[in-house]
Amino acid sequence: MCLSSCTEKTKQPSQPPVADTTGISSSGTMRFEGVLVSVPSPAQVASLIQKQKIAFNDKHLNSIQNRSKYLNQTKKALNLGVYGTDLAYLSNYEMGQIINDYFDVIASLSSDLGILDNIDKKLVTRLGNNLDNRDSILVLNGELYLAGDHYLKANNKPQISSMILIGGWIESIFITCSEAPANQELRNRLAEQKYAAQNMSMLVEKMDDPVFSPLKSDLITLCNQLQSLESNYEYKQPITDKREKITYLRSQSSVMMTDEQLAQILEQIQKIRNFIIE
Amino acid sequence: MIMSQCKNTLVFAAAMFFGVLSYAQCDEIANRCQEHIRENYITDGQTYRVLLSGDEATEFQTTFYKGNTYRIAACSGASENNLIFRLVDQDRNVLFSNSDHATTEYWDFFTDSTMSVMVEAQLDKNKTDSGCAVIVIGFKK
Repeated sequence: MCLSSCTEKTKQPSQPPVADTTGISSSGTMRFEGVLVSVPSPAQVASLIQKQKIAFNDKHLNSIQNRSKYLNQTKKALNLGVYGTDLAYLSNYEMGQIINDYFDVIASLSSDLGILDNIDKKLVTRLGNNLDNRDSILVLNGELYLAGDHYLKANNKPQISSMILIGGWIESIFITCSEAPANQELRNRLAEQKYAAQNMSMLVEKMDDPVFSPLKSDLITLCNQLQSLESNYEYKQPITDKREKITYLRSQSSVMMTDEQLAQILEQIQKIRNFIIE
Repeated sequence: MIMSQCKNTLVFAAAMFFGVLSYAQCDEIANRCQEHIRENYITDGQTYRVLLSGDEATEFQTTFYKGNTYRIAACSGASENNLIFRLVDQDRNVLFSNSDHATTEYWDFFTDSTMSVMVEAQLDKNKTDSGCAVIVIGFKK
């Protein structure tokens, strides 16, 4: 029985990570020895887009008309991630009915994957009632995906959860890279996906779904392209404010990406995204 | 043969029971921990949970993006302050440890440069021997 996510890891301190096995020990406690993986939240890309005051572009979105093409669980999960990112992107603009349409598609895919019937209905209702409020969309959209992630992992469907994360990540870097050639901040953010690429590689390597397999090598190629970007890091001692319970991290880092690398990464992201949404 | 099959069935049933029980315990802790990032923070949409015992530790890499404030909450057990968590950079420099702050359950981090960080967690052995550890991450609106 596998009750854990494929994305969780335990290790003894100062020892290399334990091999990936999951199960229940003879004492009755669960052992989670997978790999814990953190994937950047699509809400952060939405937030950056808002800060940069970038104009709305409907070409960044996966059309809701494509919804009917997604007949298997793999495509449904990947595109649930895609549409979740699109909703976060849309939250920056007053889009009225379009936002409602994307919410409906998310609810529909969540229902098909068994998520909607197994999470707190109040959360879905609150999100549905707050589609005209940007902050509420970002908060509740995040909580909806958190509840879905929790349900899927608790019910032995960690790969579905991983596919939602992968779809969401690809859509968020697709939007980022679409604007990157003309915006230095977004270009930097795309290059900084180098840090997330290692986690994504781990997630992708664990996928054994046959429908997903054509994507695997393309995703690994993308992760390798990102990981090969040159980076610098300089440690600086942080400053902690005990009263406010906050630490200011002052280390400096940068990731370099040439125009040629940007073009290659852009092409690879488009290739992967086309496979996901078609 | 029949005895062996019965034994296997019992072991499996016990495993199911304790597994479900453990996950339910994790749920309660996760719900409590989530409360720390409800107001003013947006969850990253993922749950980081693991069962730990003794000296076991867990760690994962995450990215803090330039100009954002992040909140990490780390919880275990029915009461507060059972989980020690540390933040280390890519060169393993310790950036923060809640053991320096009465094992507080949450802390905020602001970064003015995008950083790859490792979050490490371990039970406070003085308070508990084993249990579900939950970490949640949010960023400020």
